Amino acid sequence: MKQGAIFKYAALVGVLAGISAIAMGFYIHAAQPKLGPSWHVAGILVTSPRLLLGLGIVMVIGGVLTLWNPALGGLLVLASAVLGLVYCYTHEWTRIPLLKIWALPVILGWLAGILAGYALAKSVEAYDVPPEGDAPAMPTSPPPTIAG
Amino acid sequence: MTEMLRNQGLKRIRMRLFTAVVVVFTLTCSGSFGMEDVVASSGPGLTLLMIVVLPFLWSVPMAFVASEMGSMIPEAGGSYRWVRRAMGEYWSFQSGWWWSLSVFIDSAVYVALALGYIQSQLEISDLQRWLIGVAIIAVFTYINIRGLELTGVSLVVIQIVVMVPFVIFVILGFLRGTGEVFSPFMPPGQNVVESMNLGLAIMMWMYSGWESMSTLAGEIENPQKIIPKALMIGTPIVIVTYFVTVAALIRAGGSGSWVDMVSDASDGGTDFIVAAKIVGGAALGWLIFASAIASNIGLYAGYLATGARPPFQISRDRLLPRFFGKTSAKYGTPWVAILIMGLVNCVLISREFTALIVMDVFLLMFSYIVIFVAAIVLRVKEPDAPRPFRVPLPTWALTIWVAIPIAIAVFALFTNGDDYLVGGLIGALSGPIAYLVFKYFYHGTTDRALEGSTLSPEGELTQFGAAIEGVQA
Repeated sequence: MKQGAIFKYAALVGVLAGISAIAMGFYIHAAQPKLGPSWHVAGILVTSPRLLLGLGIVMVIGGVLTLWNPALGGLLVLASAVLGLVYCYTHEWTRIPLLKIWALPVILGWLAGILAGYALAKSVEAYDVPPEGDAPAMPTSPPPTIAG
Repeated sequence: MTEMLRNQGLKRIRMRLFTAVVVVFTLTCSGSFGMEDVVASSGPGLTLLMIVVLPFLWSVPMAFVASEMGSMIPEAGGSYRWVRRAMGEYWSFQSGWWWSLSVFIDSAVYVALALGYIQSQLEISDLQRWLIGVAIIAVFTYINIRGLELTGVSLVVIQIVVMVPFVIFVILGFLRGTGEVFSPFMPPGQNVVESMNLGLAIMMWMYSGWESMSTLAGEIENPQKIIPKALMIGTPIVIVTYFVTVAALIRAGGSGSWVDMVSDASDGGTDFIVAAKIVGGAALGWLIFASAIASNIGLYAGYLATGARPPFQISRDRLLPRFFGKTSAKYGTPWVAILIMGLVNCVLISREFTALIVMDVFLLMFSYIVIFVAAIVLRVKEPDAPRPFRVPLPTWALTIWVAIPIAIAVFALFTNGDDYLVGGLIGALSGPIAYLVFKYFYHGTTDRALEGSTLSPEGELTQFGAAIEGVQA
């Protein structure tokens, strides 16, 4: 896969992850708005639909950002997916229904993260020499024989 | 041959085959403590059947794959480097990250378990408990920094303390016990899948660790010969140990005792210590108690040694902070990585870390899946590369064989419980996040410039590799 294509795929999948989270946010708002107790973060009531909508928007932004900065863009998408999973984990009694809601954004977010990793590997040039200076070479004693 | 690459400051020691087998035994068995829970959840007969059958579907494939890849790529960091050769930097980082994270947590669990045994018999405060834990960690961190020679000796001593009481227990258990070893086959009223659920997860954990010793390849002479041999000898020993000791446990516990078997019987029930008291009196009970503590300390010492090497190698490959990659000029060991692991363990045992344990199992599963896939990829990509040990199967048959443990891992992923599934996914996602961060800051290394690499990217033996193989450069 060419470098430009990986960037585009990473961005596209990241945006799709965000859109799916937003869509799930609207769905859950209509179908089960009170699924699981809410989080209270800095005085803000974070319900399941709000979290999905909020993190979905972050994922979309992260996805678009991947085109210019795969590390930052990928991080935004993945961190949103992890937060969603943490939300599921902390809701013991509604964990599975919440996980079903979060499944698509998380899977797409993971895939976007993998592609962002590939894109980063292509855009960051790896060192072509081993690190120097901090480890003296240590001889391997008499070379062992292959016959053992 | 390609240019000489440095040996990263690591010192190679001549490890006897016996010591290598003891290391493998420690990492994969170290006594049978924990099997009590399997007996209670799966029933005596099914437990013993799983002890015999599961290895061929789960751990023997890993032992063989680790032997083949370890003989082909005998480099420090073990599976991390195999995956790098097969699937490149990204997946090797994922595999190495997941594996290391899992072992960092696992090793703390072993200290916590040893402390739990101590606390069950002695009245000690939480602070005293933590201080004892720190002392254990400090001793083995020092031993590990001193090198594999001393670590190997300490593991041999520990396994003597672990296994001698077990030998006495097995003899007395069969002579004096009254329990039906194979009856009932599984808990009445349950089907096979229900009976296997929890038991399978525990047993997968008990039967893991076959790839661990390969991480030490950079510090052992002739690793491409000695590690596969140790794995091949260790595999049947572990299976027999589990089978005989668990059969003795069921027999010693007495008729019907399997129902309330539990790995920690301080609140009632039957564990190895209780069963030992039944057939051998208080003296044997205390011996098995000492064995339980030694078993967990041995596991800790073994995983401290193996767990520190992948982060060291990842750092040398410029994907972790550079201090992880420092080696001791005096002892030729990755002392900073070992020390950091010890410090992390000290912190972990000071608090409740159940939430981390639920991630742990799955991190190991994910890294196993990548290792199995890497084995097949290498067979396809480099069919003619030198493999002093080769699994005696054609690639298509090996693919089918490794598909079984992959399927078991995926099955376990969905049947272990929703907390494990969600916790495991959180742990798994930490891999891509870590890669993005560390790649961005540290850049990584090209395949051509990898330190301690035995094969060039073109498949030629490097001078470093030739020295290990004993071939004149």
